[in-house]
Amino acid sequence: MSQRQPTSRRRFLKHAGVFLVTGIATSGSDTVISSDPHSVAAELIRLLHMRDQAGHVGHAYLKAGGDPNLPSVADLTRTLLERLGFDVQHLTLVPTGTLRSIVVEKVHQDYEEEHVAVVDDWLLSETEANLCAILFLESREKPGLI
Amino acid sequence: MFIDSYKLPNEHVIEADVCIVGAGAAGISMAREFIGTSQKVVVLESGGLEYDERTQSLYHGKNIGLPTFAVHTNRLRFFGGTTNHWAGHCRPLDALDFQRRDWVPDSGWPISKADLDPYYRRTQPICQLGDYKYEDLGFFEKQTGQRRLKLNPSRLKSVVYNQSPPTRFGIVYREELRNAQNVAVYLNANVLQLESDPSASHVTVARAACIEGPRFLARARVFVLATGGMENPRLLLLSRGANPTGLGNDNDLVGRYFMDHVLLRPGIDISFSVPDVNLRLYHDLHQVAGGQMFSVLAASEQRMRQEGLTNFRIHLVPDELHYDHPIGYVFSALDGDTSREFANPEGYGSIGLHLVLEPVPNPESRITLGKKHDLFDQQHIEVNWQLTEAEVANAHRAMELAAIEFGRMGLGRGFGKILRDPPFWPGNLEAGKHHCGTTRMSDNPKTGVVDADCRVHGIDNLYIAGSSVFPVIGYANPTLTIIALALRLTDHLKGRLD
Repeated sequence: MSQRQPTSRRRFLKHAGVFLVTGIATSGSDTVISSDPHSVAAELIRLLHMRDQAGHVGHAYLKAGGDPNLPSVADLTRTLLERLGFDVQHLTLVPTGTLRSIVVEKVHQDYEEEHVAVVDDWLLSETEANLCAILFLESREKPGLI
Repeated sequence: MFIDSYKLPNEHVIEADVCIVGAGAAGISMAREFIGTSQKVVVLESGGLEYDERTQSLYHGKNIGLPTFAVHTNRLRFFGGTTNHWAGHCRPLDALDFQRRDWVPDSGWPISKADLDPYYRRTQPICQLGDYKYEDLGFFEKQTGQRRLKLNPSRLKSVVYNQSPPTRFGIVYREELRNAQNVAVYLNANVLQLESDPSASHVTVARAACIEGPRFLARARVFVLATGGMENPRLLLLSRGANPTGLGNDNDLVGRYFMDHVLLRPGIDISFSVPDVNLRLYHDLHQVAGGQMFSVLAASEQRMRQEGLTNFRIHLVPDELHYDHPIGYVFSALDGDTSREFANPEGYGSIGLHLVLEPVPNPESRITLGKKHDLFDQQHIEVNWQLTEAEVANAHRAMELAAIEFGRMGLGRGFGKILRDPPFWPGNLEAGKHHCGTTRMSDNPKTGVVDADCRVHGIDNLYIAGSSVFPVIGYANPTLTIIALALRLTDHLKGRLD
C-alpha cells in the first residue's frame, strides 16, 4: 500500500490560495465555508452512505452526550468545521474534493491519535460520529433526507 | 509394549527406572525419547486405547468459580489423552512471556525462551508441523502470495501460527510404543496416590488400581506426573500419607494459580467499509514448508509495556453477523482512498475478531479437593476459576486497539459490547480449556511447586510434566510448550539416571 500523502488545510492554503470574500459566492465545484455553515452541511452529509444507518448512529451519539437539548445543524456543523481547521468567521472557497480530502485526513488522524467514540457499540472516529449527528439533525428539518 | 492392567495379579509390583503417570502429549513424548535406551520405563495410563465412560467419569468435578465448561468435558482420559480432541493450533511462547514483567504480578519463568528453543524445534515434527519459522512471517507471505495487514506496530502485529493435522498421539505413536522393548505402557492403570518416605522428600511407590479390578503398585527411581493441569495437582493433594496437605504442598501452592485462556468468540466484528478485503493470510490454511500455517494478530510488546497489558492474540474468523445493521458501508466514501490496493473480488462483508487473552496469575484461582468422590472413593476436584478486573480491562483494550486499527487502515468499523466503557464481560465469555499454573515453576519453593528442572521442591525424585508447571501462559496454545518441556525434562532425566 503506498504511503498516503496528507492533504491538510495548511497545505491547501499554501498551494491553492484562499479567496476571502465579503459576500456569498459559489461555483459548481466549490463549497463555501462561511459564517453560516448550514450551507455546507449538505456537502458533509454527502460523504455518508446508508443514511438511515448513519442517522441512527448520529442520534445515538447525540443521546449519549447526555444533553437533552440537541444542538442545531448550524452549531454542530460550525463546530466540526472548526475541528477540521477552518475559520468560519471568514468566507473561504474550498473545492468540494478538497473538503472531502480534509475530512478523510481528519478521520485518519482521529484513529491515529485515538480520538474515537463508542456509539451504540460501534467504535468510530469522533469526526465520523459528528458527521452522523449532523445528518440526524438535518433529517429532523428535512424529513425526506433519510 | 502394551499391558492390560486388568490381567495383572492383585498386589503386583512393577519395577522400573522411570515411572510416567499419564499417556497424553507429555507422557507419550517422554516415553518415546527413552525407547532404545538402557532405562526401563513404565507408563501408567488410566484409560485404555479407546474412550470409556466409567474411566472418563473419574474426571468429574465441580465448577465453583466462573461458569465454564463442565470439568469432565475439557479433557480425555484414555491413551493419547487430550490430544484425542485437541484443535492442533501451535505456536511457542514469546520471549517476553518468559521474562519478569513488572506490570504482571508473579510473572516470569526461571528459564528463558532460549533455553527452550532447541526443544521447540524438536517438537515440530512430533506434531507433524513444518519448519520452525515462527519469527519469519515474510517468508510465508512470499510463499503464499498473501500479504499481512499494514498494522501500526505500536499497537498490533501479525504473527505465524502452525496447524497440526491435529496429531492424535494415541494413534500416531501407538505402534512405536507397542514395539518398544524397554517401555511398557500399562493401560487401565489408575494411579490413586504417590507414597513417600516419612519426611515426604522421596517418592517410593505409585499405588494404582483398575476399576473393579486388581490393585498394584510401581516402584521407580524417578516418577513423573504427566496427567494435565487439573489432575496433576489432584494427585498431589490426594497423596497425603506423609504430608496431610498433600505431596509437594508445604507452601500451600499446589492447585493455586489455576489459569486458562480467556476467550471472546467473537470479541468484536468488523463491518467492512470497502469491498474485497483480502484477509486470506489470516483465515485460510496455507500449505508451506512442510506444514500448514496461518496468521493471527498479537499484542505489540511496546503497547503491553506502555499500558500494562497482558499478552493476547486475535484470530480473524469469517462468521455470522452479530448485529442487525452493519454500518461499515456508511463510511466507505471516507475509506475509498486507502483501501483500493488491498482488494480481491469477494465484495463487502464482515469478519469476526476472536480474542484469546492471557490472564494475570492469581493465587485465588485454584483447584482443590471437593466433597464428592469417584469410583475409587477419592475426592473429585473443585475448580474455582477466577478472573480479576485486570482481565476485563485488558480484553476491552485489546478489542479497542483492533477496532482502531481497522478504522485507521480504512477497512471497516468495529462493533461489540466489550467496547463499552466501563468494560464488562459480554455473555460469550469462555475458557480456552488450557489448564495451567497449578504446580507452577519457580526457583523459590515459596512461590512455586517445581524448580527449573520441573522437579518438585523438596522431593528428590518427583517431577511434573505438562501445563501445570507454567507460571504464566502467554497467548499461545500450550501444547507445543508442553511437549518442548517434556523433551527437556527427558534429557535432564537421562543425564541424571546415567
